[in-house]
Parts: sequence; structure tokens; C-alpha cells
Amino acid sequence: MNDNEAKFILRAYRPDGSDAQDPIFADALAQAGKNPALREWLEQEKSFDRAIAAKLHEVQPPAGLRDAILAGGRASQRRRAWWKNPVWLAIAASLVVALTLFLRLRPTEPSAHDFAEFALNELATATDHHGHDGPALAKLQAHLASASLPLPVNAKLDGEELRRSGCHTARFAGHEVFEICFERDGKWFHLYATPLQNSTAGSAIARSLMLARGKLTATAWHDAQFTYALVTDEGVEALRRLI
Amino acid sequence: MQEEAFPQLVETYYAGLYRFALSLAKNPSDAGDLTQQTFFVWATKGHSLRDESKAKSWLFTTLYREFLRGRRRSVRMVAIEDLAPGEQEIPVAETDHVAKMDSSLVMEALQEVDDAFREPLTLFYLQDLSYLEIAEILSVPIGTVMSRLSRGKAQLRTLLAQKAKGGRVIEFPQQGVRP
Repeated sequence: MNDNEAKFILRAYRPDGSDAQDPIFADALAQAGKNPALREWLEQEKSFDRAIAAKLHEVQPPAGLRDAILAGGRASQRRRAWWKNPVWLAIAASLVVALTLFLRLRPTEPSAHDFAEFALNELATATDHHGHDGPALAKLQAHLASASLPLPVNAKLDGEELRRSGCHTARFAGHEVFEICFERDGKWFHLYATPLQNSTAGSAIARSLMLARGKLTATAWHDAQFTYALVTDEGVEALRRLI
Repeated sequence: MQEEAFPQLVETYYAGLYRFALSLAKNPSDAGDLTQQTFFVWATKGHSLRDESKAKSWLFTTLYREFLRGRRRSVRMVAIEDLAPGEQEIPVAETDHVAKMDSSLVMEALQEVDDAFREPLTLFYLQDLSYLEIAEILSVPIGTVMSRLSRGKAQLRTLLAQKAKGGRVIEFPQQGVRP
């Protein structure tokens, strides 16, 4: 690097030393350190630059410019559509996602038809039936087996007790389902019950449907606490006699 | 960037932006308008800038673009290698002369420097921006910034010398057309 090249580079060197660590100036500065004439030139250059910079900084913006900018900025920000504000955008997006997830994931009350379908499928694919593990469940099975009780208004299940008794359970649409198998008049029946999330105090609603799949037949209903499905492979008439 | 930062941003940069605008537009009224327009653009679009450290370059770049947008330019550009013979002989101002001059006279001289040289020169004398940032703002290569600084300083020295003498400013030779 000759002196002219060093001068060319050093003319971009800020006199306040802001560029001291920039490697692009390192060689030129080193050369100025070794060459007295170049060093003197650099000092004069920096002195001139400092003087110009100082004069430039003496130029003051017109009075009121800052306030006008601030007022204009505030007005512009107010006029900006709220949905262009990234904060509001983020909140709105979060709400949409949360609402979508809520609608998708929240457990919904199963319809009687869907629940009957589920029960049919559950029984068709089950490998183990008719078991009873705890005394409470055995008592319930005995109660259900009583020939004198019509099922829809007499099931009277207790979810906590069923759990404690080791009742077989499954999941349907996010809900826990209890399966109670019982025998009446020599025929096996399978009662599926799932608690309602929004219990409706009041009267039981009678069954309104009868579904069949292969040898299996199902009916479903619900009362104030549970939705029920009753499935058997003994035929439609056997079901009708129970309900 | 938060809206609460706007007043702080104005406080920090409006004076430097105004000085740069004044050197470009050559009159206080247009310079004020350019500065205001820059912050208006910030208020409406600047929030998309996520890196606060880029705010300074963003503001100077925006001001420069607004200036260019408002003005068709047919400005000549003189390359450093195209220096007119004998130009170096023109008397130049020294530091002592500058120190005694009124700042408005120095600004006047700066405004008479060719546009192509004045732009990097003003940004350089604001001292807030490195040659790298100046290159970024003006969208020119680093070498071009250095070249224009070198040429711009030479012009400024000549103009200052003329003003210090109270004489007529020598017209700078036109040797090329800026693309």
C-alpha cells in the first residue's frame, strides 16, 4: 500500500475514533504510524473532519419540528388499523387457535345413535365378556338380572362405585364408558353407560332407536345422569322385553 | 418495535436526519418535510422492523429513498480517476478557516457539493454512521463510498475556501453523467 492508497482509505476514517477497531483501516493506520508525513496528513485530515462535523452539528432543526413529528406519528399510529398491530394480530390468532382446539377437543354429549353404534362395535370387537371383579359390580349385575325391573328407569349407576369395583371401561368421544354384562332369563346382555357432562335434572327419556349389526342388536337412551346402550346377540325381541 | 419507543426514536435521530435532509434538499422547508415524512413512514411501516439496532440505518435509508422518490435526478458523477488536471491547485480551506466560519456557511458549501458526493459526505460528517452503513443506505459498494468521500472532501475544501474569501464559487467541472 502506498501513501496515496492509504490516504484514500483513511478519508473514510471517522475522526472520533469510531472506526478504530475496523480491520479495513488497520494497514493504513499502521502505515501512518510509521510514516511521519502520512501521520501529519492524517492528523490534519482528522482535524478538518472534526471541524466540519462540529459545524454540521451546530445546524439545528427548526423549532417545532420534533413536536410536529411526534404529533404526526401519534396520529398515524391511531389511524393504523388495529388488525395491522402485531400484538393484536397475535392475540386474534391465539384466540382462533384456542377456539378451534376447544371446539375440536371438547367432549360433546354423545347422541343416542352414535352411542349405540359405539356399543355395537365395542361388543363386536371385545374379547372378554361377562366378568365381574368387585362385589359392588356383582351386586349391580344381580340387580340388573332381576326379571321384574325395566331397564331404562332402573339402571341407577354410580360411576365412582363402578370404578372402585374394577368395572371394565372404555372411551367414547372423550368420555368414560362403563360396561356391565348381566344375564337375564338365560340370555346375556351388555349395558354400556357414559356419564352426561351436563346432567339434566328431570325425567328419563325413553329409548328411541334400535340398531342391528350382524347378530348383534342395540338400543340406546339416556336419563338425567347417563347415556345408555344395551346390546345383545339374542335378537330384537329379547331387547324389547327388557325395556 | 413498541409504539412507546417512537418518541425516543424521534429524540435520538430527528436532528441528524434533518441535517442529512438539509444537505440533500438544500432548503429548511423541504428538509423538515423529508424528516417528517421519514417518521411518518416509520409510524406506518416501521413496526415490522424487528431488530431495533437497525432502526438508525432504516431511518436514513428511508429518508434518502423519499428524497430520491420526490426528485428525478440527472446528476453528474465524477470518478476519482477523472479529476480535472490542475484541480488540485485550487486553494483549499484549512481547519482554521472552517472553525471561524458560520455553520450556515459551512452547510451552504456542503449543499453545493455535487449530489453524488454530498450524500456520503453528509452521512460521514454526522459521525453516527460507518462507511459500511453509508454504503448500505445509499445502496452503493464500499469502494464507491470511499471514492465519493475522497472526492467530496476535495470539493468541499475548495468551496469552503471560496466562501472564506467571500468570492464566487468556482463551478465544478462536469465530466460524467450519473446513471
